[in-house]
Amino acid sequence: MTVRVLSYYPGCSLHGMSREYDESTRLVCRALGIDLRELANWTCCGASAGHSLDQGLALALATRNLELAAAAGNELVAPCAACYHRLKIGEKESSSDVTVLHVLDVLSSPEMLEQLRQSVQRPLSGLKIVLYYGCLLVRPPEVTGRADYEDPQSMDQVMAAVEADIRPWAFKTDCCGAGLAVARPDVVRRLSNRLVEMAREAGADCIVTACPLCQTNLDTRQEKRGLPVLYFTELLACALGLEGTESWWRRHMVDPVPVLAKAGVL
Amino acid sequence: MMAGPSDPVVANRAQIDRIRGVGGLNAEMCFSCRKCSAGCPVVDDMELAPHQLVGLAAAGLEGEALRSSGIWLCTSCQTCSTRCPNGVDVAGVIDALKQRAAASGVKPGDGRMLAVHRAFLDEVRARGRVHEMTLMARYSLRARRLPEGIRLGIGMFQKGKLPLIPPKKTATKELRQLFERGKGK
Repeated sequence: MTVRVLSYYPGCSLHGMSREYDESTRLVCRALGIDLRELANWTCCGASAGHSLDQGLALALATRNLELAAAAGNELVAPCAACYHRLKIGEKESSSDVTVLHVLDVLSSPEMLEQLRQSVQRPLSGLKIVLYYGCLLVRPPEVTGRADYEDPQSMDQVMAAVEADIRPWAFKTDCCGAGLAVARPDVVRRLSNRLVEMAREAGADCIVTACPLCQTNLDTRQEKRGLPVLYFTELLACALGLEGTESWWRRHMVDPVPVLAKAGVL
Repeated sequence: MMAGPSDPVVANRAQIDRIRGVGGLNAEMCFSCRKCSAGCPVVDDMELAPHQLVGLAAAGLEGEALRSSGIWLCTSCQTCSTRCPNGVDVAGVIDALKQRAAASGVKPGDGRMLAVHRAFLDEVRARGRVHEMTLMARYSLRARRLPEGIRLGIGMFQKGKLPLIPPKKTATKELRQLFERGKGK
Protein backbone atom coordinates (compact mmCIF):
# COMPACT_ATOMS: atom_id res chain seq x y z
CA MET A 1 0.00 0.00 0.00
CA THR A 2 1.29 3.48 -0.88
CA VAL A 3 1.84 5.56 2.18
CA ARG A 4 1.04 9.25 2.02
CA VAL A 5 2.62 11.27 4.81
CA LEU A 6 0.75 14.35 6.00
CA SER A 7 1.21 16.79 8.87
CA TYR A 8 -1.83 16.70 11.10
CA TYR A 9 -3.44 19.67 12.86
CA PRO A 10 -6.19 18.32 15.15
CA GLY A 11 -7.14 21.68 16.67
CA CYS A 12 -8.48 22.26 20.17
CA SER A 13 -11.91 20.64 19.76
CA LEU A 14 -10.46 17.31 18.65
CA HIS A 15 -8.44 17.16 21.87
CA GLY A 16 -11.52 18.21 23.86
CA MET A 17 -15.22 17.75 23.17
CA SER A 18 -14.75 15.95 19.82
CA ARG A 19 -12.20 13.25 20.57
CA GLU A 20 -14.26 10.72 18.59
CA TYR A 21 -13.60 12.79 15.45
CA ASP A 22 -9.86 12.72 16.18
CA GLU A 23 -9.86 8.97 16.87
CA SER A 24 -12.00 8.09 13.85
CA THR A 25 -9.93 10.29 11.52
CA ARG A 26 -6.71 8.65 12.67
CA LEU A 27 -8.18 5.15 12.50
CA VAL A 28 -9.58 5.55 8.98
CA CYS A 29 -6.45 7.23 7.64
CA ARG A 30 -4.23 4.51 9.07
CA ALA A 31 -6.40 1.86 7.41
CA LEU A 32 -6.09 3.65 4.07
CA GLY A 33 -2.31 4.00 4.22
CA ILE A 34 -2.25 7.67 5.17
CA ASP A 35 0.38 8.49 7.77
CA LEU A 36 -0.86 11.43 9.89
CA ARG A 37 1.91 13.06 11.89
CA GLU A 38 0.59 15.47 14.48
CA LEU A 39 2.48 18.78 14.48
CA ALA A 40 4.39 19.06 17.73
CA ASN A 41 3.63 22.31 19.55
CA TRP A 42 0.66 23.30 17.42
CA THR A 43 -1.41 26.09 18.95
CA CYS A 44 -4.96 27.41 18.47
CA CYS A 45 -5.75 28.77 14.99
CA GLY A 46 -7.37 31.88 16.51
CA ALA A 47 -10.90 30.86 15.47
CA SER A 48 -13.70 33.47 15.27
CA ALA A 49 -12.42 35.37 18.27
CA GLY A 50 -9.15 36.14 16.51
CA HIS A 51 -10.54 37.65 13.34
CA SER A 52 -13.39 39.38 15.19
CA LEU A 53 -11.08 41.31 17.49
CA ASP A 54 -7.65 41.55 15.87
CA GLN A 55 -6.90 40.88 12.22
CA GLY A 56 -3.12 40.87 12.65
CA LEU A 57 -3.20 38.53 15.62
CA ALA A 58 -5.59 36.18 13.79
CA LEU A 59 -3.15 35.89 10.91
CA ALA A 60 -0.17 35.46 13.21
CA LEU A 61 -1.86 32.65 15.14
CA ALA A 62 -2.63 30.77 11.91
CA THR A 63 0.74 31.29 10.23
CA ARG A 64 2.63 30.16 13.34
CA ASN A 65 1.21 26.68 12.68
CA LEU A 66 2.01 26.90 8.97
CA GLU A 67 5.64 27.60 9.85
CA LEU A 68 5.72 24.42 11.92
CA ALA A 69 4.27 22.53 8.96
CA ALA A 70 6.78 24.11 6.56
CA ALA A 71 9.60 22.86 8.79
CA ALA A 72 8.09 19.37 8.74
CA GLY A 73 7.95 19.56 4.93
CA ASN A 74 4.55 17.93 4.34
CA GLU A 75 1.09 19.12 3.38
CA LEU A 76 -1.04 20.04 6.39
CA VAL A 77 -4.40 18.40 6.97
CA ALA A 78 -7.07 19.62 9.41
CA PRO A 79 -10.35 17.81 10.18
CA CYS A 80 -12.04 20.88 11.72
CA ALA A 81 -13.71 23.10 9.12
CA ALA A 82 -13.07 26.22 11.21
CA CYS A 83 -9.36 25.47 11.71
CA TYR A 84 -9.08 24.51 8.03
CA HIS A 85 -10.57 27.88 7.09
CA ARG A 86 -8.26 29.95 9.30
CA LEU A 87 -5.18 27.98 8.19
CA LYS A 88 -6.25 28.32 4.55
CA ILE A 89 -6.47 32.10 4.97
CA GLY A 90 -3.01 31.97 6.55
CA GLU A 91 -1.73 30.00 3.56
CA LYS A 92 -3.12 32.59 1.16
CA GLU A 93 -2.19 35.77 3.05
CA SER A 94 1.33 34.70 3.98
CA SER A 95 2.08 33.07 0.60
CA SER A 96 3.06 29.95 2.52
CA ASP A 97 4.59 27.01 0.67
CA VAL A 98 2.50 24.63 2.75
CA THR A 99 -0.74 23.37 1.21
CA VAL A 100 -3.59 23.23 3.71
CA LEU A 101 -6.10 20.44 3.18
CA HIS A 102 -9.26 19.21 4.84
CA VAL A 103 -9.53 15.46 5.48
CA LEU A 104 -12.25 15.36 2.81
CA ASP A 105 -9.78 16.72 0.23
CA VAL A 106 -7.51 13.79 0.97
CA LEU A 107 -10.19 11.10 0.94
CA SER A 108 -12.06 12.32 -2.15
CA SER A 109 -9.16 11.94 -4.60
CA PRO A 110 -9.94 9.42 -7.37
CA GLU A 111 -7.35 6.97 -6.02
CA MET A 112 -8.70 7.18 -2.47
CA LEU A 113 -12.29 6.77 -3.63
CA GLU A 114 -11.28 3.64 -5.53
CA GLN A 115 -9.46 2.35 -2.46
CA LEU A 116 -12.53 3.01 -0.31
CA ARG A 117 -14.72 1.08 -2.79
CA GLN A 118 -12.29 -1.83 -2.65
CA SER A 119 -12.06 -1.80 1.15
CA VAL A 120 -15.76 -1.82 2.09
CA GLN A 121 -16.56 -4.60 4.53
CA ARG A 122 -20.02 -3.43 5.57
CA PRO A 123 -21.75 -1.33 2.90
CA LEU A 124 -23.87 1.50 4.32
CA SER A 125 -26.71 0.88 1.85
CA GLY A 126 -29.24 0.51 4.68
CA LEU A 127 -28.40 3.92 6.15
CA LYS A 128 -30.23 7.00 4.89
CA ILE A 129 -28.07 10.08 5.40
CA VAL A 130 -27.94 13.78 4.60
CA LEU A 131 -24.55 15.43 4.28
CA TYR A 132 -23.97 18.67 6.13
CA TYR A 133 -20.87 20.58 5.01
CA GLY A 134 -21.55 23.81 6.89
CA CYS A 135 -19.93 27.14 6.05
CA LEU A 136 -16.19 27.26 6.41
CA LEU A 137 -15.29 24.12 4.53
CA VAL A 138 -16.56 25.68 1.32
CA ARG A 139 -16.84 29.48 1.66
CA PRO A 140 -15.66 31.84 0.40
CA PRO A 141 -14.36 30.17 -2.78
CA GLU A 142 -11.46 32.67 -2.95
CA VAL A 143 -10.16 31.03 0.23
CA THR A 144 -11.20 27.41 -0.20
CA GLY A 145 -10.60 27.22 -3.95
CA ARG A 146 -13.81 25.23 -4.38
CA ALA A 147 -15.95 25.68 -7.48
CA ASP A 148 -18.93 23.76 -6.05
CA TYR A 149 -19.42 25.92 -2.96
CA GLU A 150 -23.23 26.08 -3.23
CA ASP A 151 -23.57 22.32 -3.77
CA PRO A 152 -20.35 20.68 -2.59
CA GLN A 153 -19.66 17.09 -3.59
CA SER A 154 -16.56 15.76 -1.79
CA MET A 155 -18.42 14.21 1.17
CA ASP A 156 -21.08 12.87 -1.23
CA GLN A 157 -18.36 11.11 -3.22
CA VAL A 158 -16.72 9.64 -0.14
CA MET A 159 -19.98 8.37 1.36
CA ALA A 160 -21.16 7.07 -2.02
CA ALA A 161 -17.94 5.05 -2.22
CA VAL A 162 -19.07 3.13 0.88
CA GLU A 163 -22.56 2.80 -0.62
CA ALA A 164 -24.51 5.01 1.81
CA ASP A 165 -28.08 5.94 0.84
CA ILE A 166 -27.56 9.70 0.35
CA ARG A 167 -30.74 11.78 0.51
CA PRO A 168 -30.83 15.04 -1.43
CA TRP A 169 -31.54 18.20 0.58
CA ALA A 170 -31.00 21.90 0.11
CA PHE A 171 -29.28 22.66 3.41
CA LYS A 172 -25.75 21.32 2.85
CA THR A 173 -24.09 24.67 3.45
CA ASP A 174 -26.61 26.62 5.56
CA CYS A 175 -25.09 28.03 8.75
CA CYS A 176 -25.88 26.18 12.02
CA GLY A 177 -24.82 29.17 14.13
CA ALA A 178 -22.22 27.30 16.19
CA GLY A 179 -20.18 30.47 16.67
CA LEU A 180 -22.96 31.92 18.82
CA ALA A 181 -23.31 28.79 20.95
CA VAL A 182 -21.87 30.16 24.18
CA ALA A 183 -23.53 33.56 24.30
CA ARG A 184 -26.68 33.41 22.18
CA PRO A 185 -28.28 29.96 22.47
CA ASP A 186 -31.65 31.53 21.60
CA VAL A 187 -30.47 32.31 18.05
CA VAL A 188 -28.54 29.07 17.68
CA ARG A 189 -31.49 26.91 18.67
CA ARG A 190 -33.57 28.34 15.84
CA LEU A 191 -30.84 27.72 13.23
CA SER A 192 -29.86 24.23 14.36
CA ASN A 193 -33.40 22.99 14.94
CA ARG A 194 -34.34 24.05 11.43
CA LEU A 195 -31.50 21.98 9.99
CA VAL A 196 -32.53 18.94 12.02
CA GLU A 197 -36.16 19.34 10.93
CA MET A 198 -35.16 19.62 7.28
CA ALA A 199 -32.94 16.53 7.58
CA ARG A 200 -35.86 14.62 8.99
CA GLU A 201 -38.10 15.87 6.18
CA ALA A 202 -35.50 14.64 3.68
CA GLY A 203 -35.98 11.16 5.15
CA ALA A 204 -32.59 10.87 6.80
CA ASP A 205 -31.76 8.48 9.66
CA CYS A 206 -28.89 10.74 10.66
CA ILE A 207 -26.95 13.88 9.74
CA VAL A 208 -23.32 13.47 8.69
CA THR A 209 -20.81 16.26 9.32
CA ALA A 210 -17.14 17.09 8.75
CA CYS A 211 -16.66 19.67 11.53
CA PRO A 212 -16.55 19.36 15.33
CA LEU A 213 -18.41 22.64 15.85
CA CYS A 214 -21.24 21.68 13.48
CA GLN A 215 -21.52 18.19 14.98
CA THR A 216 -21.59 19.42 18.57
CA ASN A 217 -24.00 22.20 17.81
CA LEU A 218 -26.49 19.99 15.95
CA ASP A 219 -26.16 17.09 18.40
CA THR A 220 -26.62 19.07 21.62
CA ARG A 221 -29.66 21.23 20.93
CA GLN A 222 -32.34 18.77 19.91
CA GLU A 223 -35.55 19.01 21.83
CA LYS A 224 -37.90 16.37 20.44
CA ARG A 225 -37.01 12.80 19.52
CA GLY A 226 -33.44 13.03 18.41
CA LEU A 227 -31.77 12.60 15.05
CA PRO A 228 -28.19 11.32 15.47
CA VAL A 229 -25.38 13.51 14.16
CA LEU A 230 -22.24 11.63 13.13
CA TYR A 231 -18.82 12.40 11.74
CA PHE A 232 -18.24 11.02 8.25
CA THR A 233 -15.09 9.37 9.58
CA GLU A 234 -17.08 7.44 12.19
CA LEU A 235 -19.25 5.97 9.42
CA LEU A 236 -16.22 5.23 7.25
CA ALA A 237 -14.71 3.27 10.15
CA CYS A 238 -17.94 1.22 10.34
CA ALA A 239 -18.01 0.64 6.59
CA LEU A 240 -14.38 -0.47 6.56
CA GLY A 241 -15.13 -2.87 9.43
CA LEU A 242 -12.48 -1.30 11.69
CA GLU A 243 -12.16 -2.24 15.37
CA GLY A 244 -12.36 0.36 18.12
CA THR A 245 -15.54 2.27 17.35
CA GLU A 246 -17.56 1.36 20.49
CA SER A 247 -16.32 4.17 22.75
CA TRP A 248 -17.42 6.87 20.28
CA TRP A 249 -21.17 6.33 20.43
CA ARG A 250 -21.65 7.09 24.10
CA ARG A 251 -20.09 10.52 23.63
CA HIS A 252 -22.99 11.53 21.38
CA MET A 253 -25.89 13.34 23.03
CA VAL A 254 -28.35 11.65 20.65
CA ASP A 255 -27.53 7.94 20.80
CA PRO A 256 -26.70 6.76 17.25
CA VAL A 257 -26.57 3.05 18.14
CA PRO A 258 -30.26 2.18 17.42
CA VAL A 259 -30.11 3.77 13.96
CA LEU A 260 -26.76 2.19 13.12
CA ALA A 261 -27.83 -1.22 14.40
CA LYS A 262 -31.09 -1.11 12.44
CA ALA A 263 -29.20 -0.27 9.27
CA GLY A 264 -26.85 -3.19 9.86
CA VAL A 265 -23.86 -0.89 10.13
CA LEU A 266 -22.61 -2.06 13.54
CA MET B 1 -14.34 75.82 -1.12
CA MET B 2 -11.11 74.85 0.54
CA ALA B 3 -11.20 71.49 2.26
CA GLY B 4 -9.38 71.66 5.56
CA PRO B 5 -8.73 68.94 8.12
CA SER B 6 -11.92 69.82 9.99
CA ASP B 7 -14.01 69.56 6.83
CA PRO B 8 -16.68 66.89 7.46
CA VAL B 9 -16.34 65.53 3.95
CA VAL B 10 -12.61 65.07 4.40
CA ALA B 11 -13.14 63.53 7.83
CA ASN B 12 -15.69 61.10 6.37
CA ARG B 13 -13.33 60.35 3.53
CA ALA B 14 -10.69 59.33 6.06
CA GLN B 15 -13.16 56.96 7.72
CA ILE B 16 -14.15 55.49 4.38
CA ASP B 17 -10.50 54.96 3.57
CA ARG B 18 -10.03 53.15 6.85
CA ILE B 19 -12.75 50.68 5.92
CA ARG B 20 -11.37 50.44 2.40
CA GLY B 21 -7.91 50.05 3.77
CA VAL B 22 -8.61 46.71 5.41
CA GLY B 23 -7.61 44.32 2.67
CA GLY B 24 -9.80 45.39 -0.24
CA LEU B 25 -13.19 45.05 1.40
CA ASN B 26 -14.83 47.14 -1.33
CA ALA B 27 -17.59 48.56 0.89
CA GLU B 28 -18.02 51.50 -1.50
CA MET B 29 -19.00 49.11 -4.33
CA CYS B 30 -22.31 48.28 -2.60
CA PHE B 31 -25.41 49.31 -4.62
CA SER B 32 -27.80 47.98 -1.97
CA CYS B 33 -29.18 44.99 -3.85
CA ARG B 34 -29.63 43.33 -0.43
CA LYS B 35 -28.54 39.92 -1.61
CA CYS B 36 -26.27 39.73 1.46
CA SER B 37 -29.16 40.37 3.82
CA ALA B 38 -31.46 37.98 1.92
CA GLY B 39 -29.06 35.07 2.52
CA CYS B 40 -28.00 36.00 6.06
CA PRO B 41 -28.92 33.30 8.61
CA VAL B 42 -29.22 35.75 11.52
CA VAL B 43 -30.72 38.81 9.81
CA ASP B 44 -34.01 38.33 11.69
CA ASP B 45 -32.20 39.05 14.95
CA MET B 46 -30.25 42.08 13.71
CA GLU B 47 -31.53 45.62 14.10
CA LEU B 48 -29.22 46.65 11.27
CA ALA B 49 -29.02 44.20 8.36
CA PRO B 50 -25.73 43.42 6.58
CA HIS B 51 -26.47 45.71 3.60
CA GLN B 52 -27.21 48.53 6.05
CA LEU B 53 -23.98 47.92 7.95
CA VAL B 54 -22.05 48.05 4.67
CA GLY B 55 -23.93 51.20 3.64
CA LEU B 56 -23.08 52.97 6.89
CA ALA B 57 -19.45 51.91 6.66
CA ALA B 58 -19.16 53.04 3.04
CA ALA B 59 -20.70 56.41 3.86
CA GLY B 60 -18.28 56.93 6.74
CA LEU B 61 -21.20 56.88 9.21
CA GLU B 62 -20.02 53.91 11.17
CA GLY B 63 -20.94 55.15 14.66
CA GLU B 64 -24.38 53.56 14.62
CA ALA B 65 -22.94 50.36 13.21
CA LEU B 66 -20.29 50.16 15.95
CA ARG B 67 -22.97 50.29 18.64
CA SER B 68 -25.27 47.75 16.96
CA SER B 69 -25.80 44.20 18.17
CA GLY B 70 -25.94 43.07 14.55
CA ILE B 71 -22.19 43.11 14.09
CA TRP B 72 -21.77 40.74 17.05
CA LEU B 73 -24.51 38.38 15.82
CA CYS B 74 -22.67 37.83 12.52
CA THR B 75 -21.43 34.22 12.57
CA SER B 76 -18.87 34.86 9.79
CA CYS B 77 -20.56 32.16 7.72
CA GLN B 78 -19.30 33.98 4.60
CA THR B 79 -22.56 33.57 2.66
CA CYS B 80 -22.81 37.34 2.09
CA SER B 81 -19.23 37.79 0.88
CA THR B 82 -19.56 34.74 -1.37
CA ARG B 83 -22.78 35.92 -3.04
CA CYS B 84 -22.15 39.67 -3.41
CA PRO B 85 -22.35 40.53 -7.12
CA ASN B 86 -20.00 43.49 -6.64
CA GLY B 87 -17.25 41.75 -4.74
CA VAL B 88 -17.92 43.49 -1.42
CA ASP B 89 -16.42 41.42 1.40
CA VAL B 90 -19.47 41.96 3.59
CA ALA B 91 -18.30 39.64 6.37
CA GLY B 92 -14.91 41.36 6.23
CA VAL B 93 -16.56 44.77 6.63
CA ILE B 94 -18.49 43.44 9.64
CA ASP B 95 -15.24 42.03 11.08
CA ALA B 96 -13.61 45.45 10.63
CA LEU B 97 -16.57 47.02 12.47
CA LYS B 98 -16.26 44.46 15.30
CA GLN B 99 -12.55 45.16 15.64
CA ARG B 100 -13.12 48.88 15.71
CA ALA B 101 -16.02 48.62 18.17
CA ALA B 102 -13.93 46.47 20.52
CA ALA B 103 -10.91 48.78 20.29
CA SER B 104 -12.88 52.04 20.60
CA GLY B 105 -14.49 51.16 23.89
CA VAL B 106 -18.07 51.97 22.76
CA LYS B 107 -20.69 50.03 24.70
CA PRO B 108 -21.02 46.86 22.63
CA GLY B 109 -24.44 46.11 21.15
CA ASP B 110 -24.06 42.54 22.44
CA GLY B 111 -21.71 42.44 25.41
CA ARG B 112 -22.03 38.67 25.77
CA MET B 113 -20.55 38.01 22.32
CA LEU B 114 -17.66 40.39 22.97
CA ALA B 115 -17.10 38.58 26.29
CA VAL B 116 -16.92 35.24 24.45
CA HIS B 117 -14.31 36.49 22.01
CA ARG B 118 -12.22 38.12 24.76
CA ALA B 119 -12.45 35.04 26.99
CA PHE B 120 -11.40 32.87 24.06
CA LEU B 121 -8.29 34.94 23.32
CA ASP B 122 -7.46 35.06 27.06
CA GLU B 123 -7.48 31.27 27.01
CA VAL B 124 -5.33 31.02 23.87
CA ARG B 125 -2.81 33.41 25.36
CA ALA B 126 -2.67 31.60 28.69
CA ARG B 127 -2.52 28.04 27.42
CA GLY B 128 -1.84 27.96 23.68
CA ARG B 129 -4.77 25.60 23.20
CA VAL B 130 -8.34 26.04 24.35
CA HIS B 131 -9.74 24.03 27.25
CA GLU B 132 -13.52 24.21 27.00
CA MET B 133 -14.31 24.16 30.74
CA THR B 134 -11.80 26.93 31.49
CA LEU B 135 -13.16 28.92 28.56
CA MET B 136 -16.64 28.74 30.12
CA ALA B 137 -15.25 29.96 33.45
CA ARG B 138 -13.44 32.83 31.73
CA TYR B 139 -16.64 33.74 29.88
CA SER B 140 -18.60 33.83 33.14
CA LEU B 141 -16.06 36.16 34.70
CA ARG B 142 -15.97 38.43 31.65
CA ALA B 143 -19.75 38.51 31.13
CA ARG B 144 -20.48 38.47 34.89
CA ARG B 145 -23.10 35.80 34.46
CA LEU B 146 -23.31 32.03 34.44
CA PRO B 147 -22.60 30.39 31.07
CA GLU B 148 -25.74 30.11 28.96
CA GLY B 149 -27.07 26.58 28.76
CA ILE B 150 -25.31 25.40 31.90
CA ARG B 151 -27.57 22.34 32.07
CA LEU B 152 -26.42 21.36 28.60
CA GLY B 153 -22.84 21.73 29.80
CA ILE B 154 -23.51 19.37 32.68
CA GLY B 155 -25.08 16.88 30.27
CA MET B 156 -22.05 17.08 27.99
CA PHE B 157 -19.75 16.60 30.96
CA GLN B 158 -21.66 13.50 32.03
CA LYS B 159 -21.27 12.10 28.50
CA GLY B 160 -17.51 12.50 28.85
CA LYS B 161 -17.40 15.19 26.15
CA LEU B 162 -15.71 17.82 28.30
CA PRO B 163 -12.33 16.80 29.73
CA LEU B 164 -11.77 18.06 33.26
CA ILE B 165 -8.01 18.26 32.99
CA PRO B 166 -6.74 21.04 30.70
CA PRO B 167 -4.15 20.33 28.01
CA LYS B 168 -0.60 21.23 28.95
CA LYS B 169 0.56 24.71 28.08
CA THR B 170 2.03 24.99 24.59
CA ALA B 171 4.35 27.69 23.28
CA THR B 172 2.86 30.27 25.65
CA LYS B 173 6.00 32.40 25.72
CA GLU B 174 5.96 32.66 21.95
CA LEU B 175 2.24 33.42 21.91
CA ARG B 176 2.65 36.17 24.50
CA GLN B 177 5.02 37.87 22.04
CA LEU B 178 2.45 37.53 19.24
CA PHE B 179 -0.22 39.10 21.45
CA GLU B 180 2.06 41.94 22.56
CA ARG B 181 3.16 42.71 19.02
CA GLY B 182 -0.41 43.47 18.00
CA LYS B 183 -0.97 45.94 20.82
CA GLY B 184 -1.03 49.65 20.13
CA LYS B 185 -1.63 49.24 16.42
